[in-house]
Amino acid sequence: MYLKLLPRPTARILGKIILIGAGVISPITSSVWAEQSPAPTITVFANASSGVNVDELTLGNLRAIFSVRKRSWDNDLPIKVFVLADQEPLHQKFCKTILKIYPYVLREQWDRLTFSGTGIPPTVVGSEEQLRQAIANTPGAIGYVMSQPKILVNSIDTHYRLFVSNSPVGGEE
Amino acid sequence: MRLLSNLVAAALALSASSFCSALSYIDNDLQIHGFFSQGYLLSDGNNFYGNSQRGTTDFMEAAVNANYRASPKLNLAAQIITRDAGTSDNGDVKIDFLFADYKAIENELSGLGFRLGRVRNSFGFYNDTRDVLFTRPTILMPQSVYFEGNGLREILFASDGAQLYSYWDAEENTTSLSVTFGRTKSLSADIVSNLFGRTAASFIDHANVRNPIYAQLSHSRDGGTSKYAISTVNMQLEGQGSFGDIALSANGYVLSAQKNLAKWTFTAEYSLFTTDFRSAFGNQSLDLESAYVQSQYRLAQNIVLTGRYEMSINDKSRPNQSDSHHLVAGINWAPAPQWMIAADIYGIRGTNGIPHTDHNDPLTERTEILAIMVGFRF
Repeated sequence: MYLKLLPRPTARILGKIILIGAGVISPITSSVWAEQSPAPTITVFANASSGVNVDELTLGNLRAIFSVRKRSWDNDLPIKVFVLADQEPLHQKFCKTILKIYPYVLREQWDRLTFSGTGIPPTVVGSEEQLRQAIANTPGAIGYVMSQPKILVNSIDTHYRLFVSNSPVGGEE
Repeated sequence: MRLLSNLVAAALALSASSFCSALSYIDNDLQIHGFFSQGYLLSDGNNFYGNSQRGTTDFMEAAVNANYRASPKLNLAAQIITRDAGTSDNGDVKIDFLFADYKAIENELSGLGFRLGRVRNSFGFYNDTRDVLFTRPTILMPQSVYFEGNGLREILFASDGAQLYSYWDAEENTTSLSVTFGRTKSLSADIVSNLFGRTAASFIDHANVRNPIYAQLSHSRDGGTSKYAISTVNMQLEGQGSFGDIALSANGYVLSAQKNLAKWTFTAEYSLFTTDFRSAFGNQSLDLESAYVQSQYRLAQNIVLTGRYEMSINDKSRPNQSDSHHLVAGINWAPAPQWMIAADIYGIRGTNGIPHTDHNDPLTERTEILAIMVGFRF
């Protein structure tokens, strides 16, 4: 039903996603949407096994997780943080708008963990698609994705859950 | 020859990196990282690491580390390092840290754990990663607080022992505590020579640092926009020699503050060391006081300009005869995320921080250094 309401190119892309159906969302879709719809937003995204509803995580919780102070979920599963490289626009936007930390400050914290051995820094992956897959396939994983405006998010999430057995939780509702 | 061996180390680091990036990608449970950096120093006045008055490449750092999550509560971490720095460090491969990290308590807003083994000492903002070009503000550490040149760095950087760590989170800030109890360790002849000078060191057969204790309380506000820390160390140095025993008791305090803004970072650290020296020839109490202020400007995402002024007094009772002043200007450029090229200029008045072991003659009061360093990390 949503497809009919959308402008044709967007509906075509959304149709493709449904066809792909494996939760693999081409990075190009976000930019196309960004041009034609209200700006996409960033959503924190966790693997279902974490048992956490990311909507309930406070700013303090998110900072503790992404700074790798907090290491385990409430169900004792280790937290595994996945991010994009420092210079990626999505990573920068996530740091500034969600964590409200300058990316270089976060990098300093991670480098301190790495080179003093005091924690396992986030795993850096090469693309938004890899990030999405890593989170979907790794128990305890958390990261972030570019989510679309509300009407689309609902559609995607519905299909995502339909097609991906290990469905991630915490999409923007 | 030295440069050649450094280049071989670099090639090894590069080949290790391609293997390791594949490893760290598989899962978040094991991560392997490392770095290699090679410096070039050209100085006027005094040598700084090797024969830098003629230009030297005798400054290299390389390390490989692994961090493994053995269970949700237990991490294992290790790093081996090789460092070549004039006569201060000779390129031997050493275990930099090797410990088990047990997070005993963790809840919504706080946590507490222990590390057992060889751990880095938290002291000031930069001590626990002081050998990594990518984590320090300039090629040479602020001499005033981190004592790079005079033998104290080897005592400061790591302890064999137990480290307790804890933190408390609030919505807009976090507070951390780290306390390290070190075992007694013996000091090499090179360190003794750098600490006490070559003449005095020739009378010392054996020296120990007895049970050092390090503590750091730090507070970070608004996602690290403002950071504050107070660090302390308490240590006893004992030596036996041909003229009887010597003992040096030292208490150090460092106050640290940093403001991080979008383009600017301002850092200030103040250090006070009180020392009490006892020997067969008499006793001496010395207070060393030092501080620096530093500003950094991010010209672009990958270019940082740094300016710093340092002041140090080796004897507070004679401030005008024992003071040194350092003026530092530097640029860091990361042409790619894994690479860094840094260039600094140091203007030094006084002799604090100049490594004594790189000289046969008395030091001069004026030193200028041009330093260039290329670093690679993975």
